[in-house]
Amino acid sequence: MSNVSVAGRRFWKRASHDFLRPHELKRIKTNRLPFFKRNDFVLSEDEYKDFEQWRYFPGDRVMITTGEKKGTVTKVVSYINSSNSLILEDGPTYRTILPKQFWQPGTTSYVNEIPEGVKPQDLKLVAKVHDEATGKDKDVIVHKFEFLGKHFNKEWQTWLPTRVVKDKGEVLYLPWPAPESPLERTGASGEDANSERSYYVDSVVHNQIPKDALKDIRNPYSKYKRGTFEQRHLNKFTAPDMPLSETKKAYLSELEAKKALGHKKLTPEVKDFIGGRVKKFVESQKKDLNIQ
Amino acid sequence: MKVTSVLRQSASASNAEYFEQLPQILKNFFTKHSPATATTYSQKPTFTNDPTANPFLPNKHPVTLKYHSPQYSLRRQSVLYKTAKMYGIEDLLPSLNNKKFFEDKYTTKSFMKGVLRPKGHKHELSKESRQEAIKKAMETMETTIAKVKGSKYKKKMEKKREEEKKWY
Repeated sequence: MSNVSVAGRRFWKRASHDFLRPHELKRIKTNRLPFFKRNDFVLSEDEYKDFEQWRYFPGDRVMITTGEKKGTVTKVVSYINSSNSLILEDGPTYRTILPKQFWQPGTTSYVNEIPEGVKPQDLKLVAKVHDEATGKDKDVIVHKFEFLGKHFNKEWQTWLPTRVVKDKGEVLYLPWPAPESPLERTGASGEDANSERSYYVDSVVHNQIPKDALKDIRNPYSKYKRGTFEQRHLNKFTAPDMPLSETKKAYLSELEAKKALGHKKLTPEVKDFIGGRVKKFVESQKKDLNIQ
Repeated sequence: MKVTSVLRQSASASNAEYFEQLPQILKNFFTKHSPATATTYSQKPTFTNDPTANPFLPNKHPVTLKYHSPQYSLRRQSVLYKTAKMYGIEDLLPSLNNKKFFEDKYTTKSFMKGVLRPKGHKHELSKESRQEAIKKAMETMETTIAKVKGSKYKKKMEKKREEEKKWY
């Protein structure tokens, strides 16, 4: 976009993402005139993306805790991504005017009841527990559950977070609802295929793979491939030592000669001579100062 | 203080014991350089490998022909000399050609010309001529003013002179 000015580039960048800035969007939402439909959509960056945020999965049995339908046990049908809410089978509805192009078969009026999204925090999970006293399953409302690691869900053929209820040190697992119909396998090998062993090493010395086949197995142009480092490379990249100048040679030889001499030591004769001189001086000083 | 410690030595103490009483810097120096009585140190800079090379002078290297600075700086030379003088063995050090100490330093001091006969500042030098010029100007003041102001002033001055009261 070199032909676009800096201001133009800025405009394009904004237009490609969200045309309105977040604060502009907020101003529009708060200051606008009354509107038929309660629009509770969220910004794209605030939309729920993972199961930990949604907490429930289509097919989960839930109980509504607020509103007109409080206490109703029903099933999650789908998500509304734009408002971070869930559509329930027997959830709350609202009346709205529906243009004719949106009419479903059987619709006879412009005014229609449409299911309203419910936030995950307004729901409680309903789980089935086997009652040993009666020998039957009974419904239990889960007050609080959390996520503990991940597990491979065979029914959904993917990794899903594990929902658990922790109570007095006990951990109770809450399974995710199974898909309505089993998932079809699309061309991929089975889940046990990765644990099947097809290659056995017979010899430590000889490679089992033929030499010609190695080209197919290994990438000859791999960036991780290490070449062999030879002497010629070393020679090429090592700078030659500069020959020593005559001055330097003389200096080094002088240093060696000095080293060979070793540390000088005072001879007893020199000590005696200097000590004698000091003694003589001290005696004369004593005489001058009349010290005995 | 060090001398007093040496003075405390009894007369029967050996020469070696007296030597041991010397400060470490002197003992170190005589370990490296023999006393001046044993070797005659050169009075002038020579080659560094010369056995008579004076460690207090800058000496020339025979190969590089460059001068090496003295092995002992001027400050260290002073310290060595003053310490040796305390024990009366300053003559055992190599000669210090360009340094003087104590009385010698002050008695043979040559003063600068300017210190002995100062020239004086410019205002001092030109005082006489300036005062002369002022005196001369004062004498010829009237004529100078008259020259500028004209004949009217001249007449006025003459009249004033006539009217001046005289004692006779």
